[in-house]
Amino acid sequence: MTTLQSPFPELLSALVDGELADGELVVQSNALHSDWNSYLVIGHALRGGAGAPLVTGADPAFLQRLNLRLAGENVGLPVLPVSREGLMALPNQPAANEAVFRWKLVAGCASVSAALIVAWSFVGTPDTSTISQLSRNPAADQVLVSSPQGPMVRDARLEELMAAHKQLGGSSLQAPSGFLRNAGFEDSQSGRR
Amino acid sequence: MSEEPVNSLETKPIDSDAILVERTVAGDQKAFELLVIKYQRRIQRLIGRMVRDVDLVEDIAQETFIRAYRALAQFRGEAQFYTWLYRIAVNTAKKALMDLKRNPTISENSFKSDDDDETSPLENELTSSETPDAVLASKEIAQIINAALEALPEELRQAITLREIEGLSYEEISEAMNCPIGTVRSRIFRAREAISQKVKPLLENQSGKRW
Repeated sequence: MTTLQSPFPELLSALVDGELADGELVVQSNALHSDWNSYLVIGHALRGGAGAPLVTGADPAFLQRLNLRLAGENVGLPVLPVSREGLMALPNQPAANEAVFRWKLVAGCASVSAALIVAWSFVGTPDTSTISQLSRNPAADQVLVSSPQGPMVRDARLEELMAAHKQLGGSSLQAPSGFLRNAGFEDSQSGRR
Repeated sequence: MSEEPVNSLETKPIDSDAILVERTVAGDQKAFELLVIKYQRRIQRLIGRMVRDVDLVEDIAQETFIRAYRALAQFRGEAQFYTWLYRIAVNTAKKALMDLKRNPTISENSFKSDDDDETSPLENELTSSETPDAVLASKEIAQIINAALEALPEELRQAITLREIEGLSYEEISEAMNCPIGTVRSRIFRAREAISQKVKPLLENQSGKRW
């Protein structure tokens, strides 16, 4: 799109009639406000007849005040692409939060961290005892015994754990929780003591 | 000014408001100024039917155009530009009246005629801003214009009469006058220029300021 800078009132005249040819543009000049105004008034008067509203031109002072207000309030228009050329000319614009949130850096750190974790899982080989402990079947340590309360499952590992933390179920806690009180049974040897 | 028939000029009728809106949205503030010049008086007349305070009418009209300017990018052209502007003006006036806790001094008809335009009979009512002096000046302007029209050469008078009074398009006028569209455009422009020379001094006297 080009903009004609020289006065060309005939274009204004055609614009008043909505008869601009494709590609013709409005002349941009304050001097043409007067022509535009009088063309409008002429049409208004000719079409009007007896019952028409008053034939009055626009007030230049009104436009001046409006322009001052628009400038003073810094009223801006969101400029939209209005032509195919405008759309095609739009550059690739950065994201609005590009400068605020450095997502590229964060994403890079996260990627490196994930790669390190995966690599560590392959490189760091745990010892065989850990593997055997982890892979040991817990059901093998469990035995079913009869008791006055009925058959009970005794787990050697659980009993080791409870023996090591026996005091938690007894004297060290002034008011042991219900869970500990119920779970803190002792073996038969300590029960005789 | 010589008349040069232009056969190759193919005009495509486009709503002039739509062109001006498009150019304004594209960043051309001069185009918006042409819209303001075109509709300022009509908007003031409309507001003047709702508000009797002349100063308030001016303020509301200013606010109307500022709101319209801000919202112009959202104008999709589904309605006529003036209809859209009309609604902004009515809403702005209502809000101003509510803010001032005043009551509208006009009947509800003002608010009901949302779809009307220049054909609305209410537009013909005088408002407080239209003083007897303004009425007199308006009659004088109309007389000058009609006299200037009568003084035009036949071909120019016929062209502008077919356009302004009969409302024909350039294409229809070219058929009626048996001449190219470019010639029609040129004749209408020359007719306007001739009348404009007579009426401009009056318009400047009326507003008291030059453009």
